[in-house]
Amino acid sequence: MKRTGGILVVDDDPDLREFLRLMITSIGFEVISAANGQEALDVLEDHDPDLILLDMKMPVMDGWEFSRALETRGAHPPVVVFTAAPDPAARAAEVHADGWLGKPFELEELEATVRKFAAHPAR
Amino acid sequence: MRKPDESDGGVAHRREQVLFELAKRNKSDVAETFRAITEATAVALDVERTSIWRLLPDNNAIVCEDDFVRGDSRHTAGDILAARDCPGYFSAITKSRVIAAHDARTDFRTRELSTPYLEAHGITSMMDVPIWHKGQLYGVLCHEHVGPTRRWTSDEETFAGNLADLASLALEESERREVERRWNAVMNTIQEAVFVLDGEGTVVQANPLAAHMMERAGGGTTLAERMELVEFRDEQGRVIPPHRTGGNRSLRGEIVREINQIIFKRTGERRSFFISSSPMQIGNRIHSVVVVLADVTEEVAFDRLKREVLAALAHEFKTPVAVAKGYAQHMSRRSDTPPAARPMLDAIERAANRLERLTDDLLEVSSISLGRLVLQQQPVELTAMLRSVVRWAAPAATHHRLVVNAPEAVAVSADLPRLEQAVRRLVDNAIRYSPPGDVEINVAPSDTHVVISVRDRGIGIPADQQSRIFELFFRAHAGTPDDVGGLGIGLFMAREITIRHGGEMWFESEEGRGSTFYMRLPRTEMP
Repeated sequence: MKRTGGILVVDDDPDLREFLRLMITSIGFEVISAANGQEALDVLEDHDPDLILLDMKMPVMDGWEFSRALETRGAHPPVVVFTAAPDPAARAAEVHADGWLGKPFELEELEATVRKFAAHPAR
Repeated sequence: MRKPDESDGGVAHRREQVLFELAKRNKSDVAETFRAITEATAVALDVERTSIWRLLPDNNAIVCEDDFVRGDSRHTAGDILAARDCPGYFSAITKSRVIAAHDARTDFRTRELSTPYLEAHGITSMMDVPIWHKGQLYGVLCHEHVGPTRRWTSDEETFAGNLADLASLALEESERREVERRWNAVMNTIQEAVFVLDGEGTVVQANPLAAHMMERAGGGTTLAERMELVEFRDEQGRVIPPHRTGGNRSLRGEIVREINQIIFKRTGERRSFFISSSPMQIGNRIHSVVVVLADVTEEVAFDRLKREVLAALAHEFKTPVAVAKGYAQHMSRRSDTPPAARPMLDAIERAANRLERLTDDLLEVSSISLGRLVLQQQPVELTAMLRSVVRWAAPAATHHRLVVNAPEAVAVSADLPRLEQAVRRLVDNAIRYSPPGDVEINVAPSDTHVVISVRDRGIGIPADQQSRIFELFFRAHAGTPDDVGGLGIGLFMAREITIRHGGEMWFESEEGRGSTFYMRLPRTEMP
């Protein structure tokens, strides 16, 4: 039986991962972290999170590759890409993500994004 | 003078023969043609001297280009006749088809020539025919008779007129050859491949570079052959179907400017070309298409490398900035943060914001292509575009309200990402340089144009800085407390993009009251 709920944060920067964990847990959500796409896929083996916050540029397996792998699995949690690209919306569309968050971001944006998707029933 | 044993029919036939011979000869060498004309007419009209004179550009003299004297069978040139010495003659040659002076010494049109010219050569009768070229008087073909005066017949006048027409044909032909020579020199020198296609898409002309390209492809004169030998792809590497290639779109009337990859199927070679193609119409029919290809393979490769480097740089930059900014914001909002620490945290946040902005500027600079900024224009509906801008600006506009006043269903022909980039800059500036309040985005369409304006009630631009506001790297508020950082490229880019869309950008600003930036673009049909 998979564990459901929580936010899967995928980013190769440990400081940013820790920061996101702190912020998201402070508003009452559980956080699972992964340092790259491969680790995230491993997490998804026994977790079914409400939302995946996905960095795009990562070693081992980047956001693009991860998104393709995710799509082959069929139904999956919503994905919000987390990117420094000048046009985050285009980046999100590229990988058929459900939303985007620019880097850097305002705390309010992060909170709003998490609440929007984590309020969804787990898919 | 007519010889007694010759019938009219014989003379007429001989003159016809002369005209025929002159008409069919190659007339590209004007001097040679002039010599042939003077010789032929001297014999055919049986006159002693025949000459062709050229009117100088300021109309104050004619200069002899060729003078043929039948007696000694000799050509000379170079004599000059000034208008001030014979104004009546100059006036006559601009007004008549033929000046037939039976007695040149008394005729009011030619008598001024008497002392210096007619008497010196023993000339008694003259028949001069102006030569016209491109609606302007070029000069005059002169027949000068020596001996007893002679009555010129109307047949002779007609014949002389025909010769003058042949002279003007020679001028036209040589001019055409000259233009052709220059054109060929250009075509052989330029670093672009130039193809001319007929209405069916078959190559009918190619400069050396284009011919070399065809050779590399393995031939391909007709459209069908060509499509077998080469494949066109867009900048993203997607295959362009044959009917969507630049040349084919121009065959349907479109002017195309874009970068394509061309794959030579025979060798597998792949190169990038900047393609410009445009139709040439005769009436409503597309008669041919000119396609110009500039090899930009190296530029495209360098451009991609540059974008990748800058994107990587931006990513590496923004992640630590996100951490610093995030913690600073978080700490300053916590109730247990000591009051003395708050200004420090605010300073960290401001510094992070400046770094963020600098990174955005770097990325924006990188979007200026090294080669050419190629716009992919299509009809863009403005309300949707502005919604996207507002969504983009929302995170930074926590203390501002973005008010959009735009009628539905108004479109401009634009490269959407570029146009959005330009409008974003205006909105971003409005937010950054104004205290909390409204930022208004208005769309005012007319029949032919659309004006998009962005208005803030902010700090405005000091009057003495206004003339420089669109300069690259110029920052009106640099070093002042209102300085929010950046490289000073936003307005430069916004204006550049607007101009490349065939539009214009201007602003109104008053210090302390705010600024309004206007962007005027040609309106188009809805998509």
